[in-house]
Amino acid sequence: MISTRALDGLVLAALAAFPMVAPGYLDLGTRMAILALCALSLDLLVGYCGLVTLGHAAFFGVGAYAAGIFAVRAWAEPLAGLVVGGLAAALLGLVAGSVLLRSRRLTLIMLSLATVLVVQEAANRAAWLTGGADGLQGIVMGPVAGAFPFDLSGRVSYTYAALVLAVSFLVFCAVIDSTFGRSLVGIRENEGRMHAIGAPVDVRLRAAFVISAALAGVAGALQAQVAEFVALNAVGVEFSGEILIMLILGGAGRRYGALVGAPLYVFMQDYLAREDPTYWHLWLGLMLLAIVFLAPGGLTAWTSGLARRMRRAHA
Amino acid sequence: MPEPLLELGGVSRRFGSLEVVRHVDLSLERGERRALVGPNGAGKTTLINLISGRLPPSGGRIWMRGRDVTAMREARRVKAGIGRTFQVTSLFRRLAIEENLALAVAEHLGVAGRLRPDRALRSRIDARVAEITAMLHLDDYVTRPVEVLPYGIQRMVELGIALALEPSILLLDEPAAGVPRADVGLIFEAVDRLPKELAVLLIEHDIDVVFRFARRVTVLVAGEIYAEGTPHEISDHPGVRALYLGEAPRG
Repeated sequence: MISTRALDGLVLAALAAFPMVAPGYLDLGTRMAILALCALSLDLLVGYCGLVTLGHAAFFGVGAYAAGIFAVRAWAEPLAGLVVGGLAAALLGLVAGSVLLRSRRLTLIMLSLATVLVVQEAANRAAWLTGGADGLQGIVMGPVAGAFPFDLSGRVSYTYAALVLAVSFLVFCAVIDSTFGRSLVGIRENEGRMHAIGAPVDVRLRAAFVISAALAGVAGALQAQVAEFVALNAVGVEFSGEILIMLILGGAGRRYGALVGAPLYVFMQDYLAREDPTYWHLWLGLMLLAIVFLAPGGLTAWTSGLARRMRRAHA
Repeated sequence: MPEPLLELGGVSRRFGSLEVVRHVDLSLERGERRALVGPNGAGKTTLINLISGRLPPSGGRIWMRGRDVTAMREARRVKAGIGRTFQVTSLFRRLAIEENLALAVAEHLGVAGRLRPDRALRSRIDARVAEITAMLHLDDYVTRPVEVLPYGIQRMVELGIALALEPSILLLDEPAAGVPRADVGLIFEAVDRLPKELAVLLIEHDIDVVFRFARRVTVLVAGEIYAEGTPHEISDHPGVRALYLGEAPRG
């Protein structure tokens, strides 16, 4: 059996190899990396804590706005912007978590939906700061780490996004492999029992919310920096749903689910939109249906099931 | 007289207009072996839920070593030394036995909130898990998910989780409920081997088991303590004979 460590290495190698394999698709690769990071952060809540939310765009959007505004008004250094975006989203995660986590299941989904709407409307009203419906303009990013200016080829953007994703993935792995991460799985499997073994369930879930929000905020900040623009729909309900779809497509709670699901979704979207600009949504929907029917636990669940069957056949 | 490990003073619990537990006074000493018996619906499980903190009482107070824990939440009471099992198995069904136990061990060691993987810590947890699985004869099953295992084994895991918390008071809510007759002996054999200093409160319907296990028996009827005494006194108590022992022992 391939070890987890080898697969982790494979993921990092794939990120590094992408520009050589598909040099003409660096912008697409950048988008894949950013959305993979966003789906990865959502996986911490959906896959590991068992908390389904439709509010993840709020964290992504706040991270994007915070980093964008920081670049416009304070400092155009990208790495500092990432920190600002992550912190802003973590703060929202702390507040939202303490409110949302009083509920579960459908109520939680509704409340998370409401959170996105509130944040989006706040961004819309605060047009003096965010540009409102026109989006946040006038971002001019400085060179990454003072040495690598963003160029038209998209090479720096891709490398930057891929590196941030790689580092974030290692953080994500550390979290899910820690005793903390295992206790989140315990909460997902049987929350009542966790109370009865002495686990401070609320504290754990809030911490997971903050970590998840921070990673989503970093993804948002990346998006703002490489696009040098923040659109109002970065905090949209529709985008929240898309992130969830990407994650489910790849497989929630399965380590590599987000890294498989998000790029696949972006690829299908891009391919279908070029092939059939009129009806591509229809084809995308049909393909999603097919995948969900054929691989109910997501693609990574399907592949690991396949590997298991092959091993058994060999044995 | 030394302070009792656990003391209940006039503890009550009502659900709506129904008073399920009424003014129960009870105390447990260190190392005590106590059985709690009574007909179905007598409030035995509710009483355990009140002691463990799963339910807040509607009246009365609960002390541990003289300290008032009435308002203390369930998770904090576990830290204070109250462990329990559930009448209906409550496990992490999709996880392996070793993972089930590791969760409890990590909580008990106070390291479950650690955010970084730590190999030394992991092996410390694994070592403790191995001790527990060896003690309960679960070694053959450790890597299997709980849900595919026989119910008797699942009940042993239930017990193992409680023991992983190294409680000073253990509340056992019908540890052999639903277990095939052939495997019941294994569970009570494990119960008999519990550490001596541990105070155990056992809910059990099988009178033979109760009389063999307990030094004292408390009889709960309609939420109230009906009688309390040694197994001998209880078996000679005319009211208890009529009320409880005359009934079919299994509900």
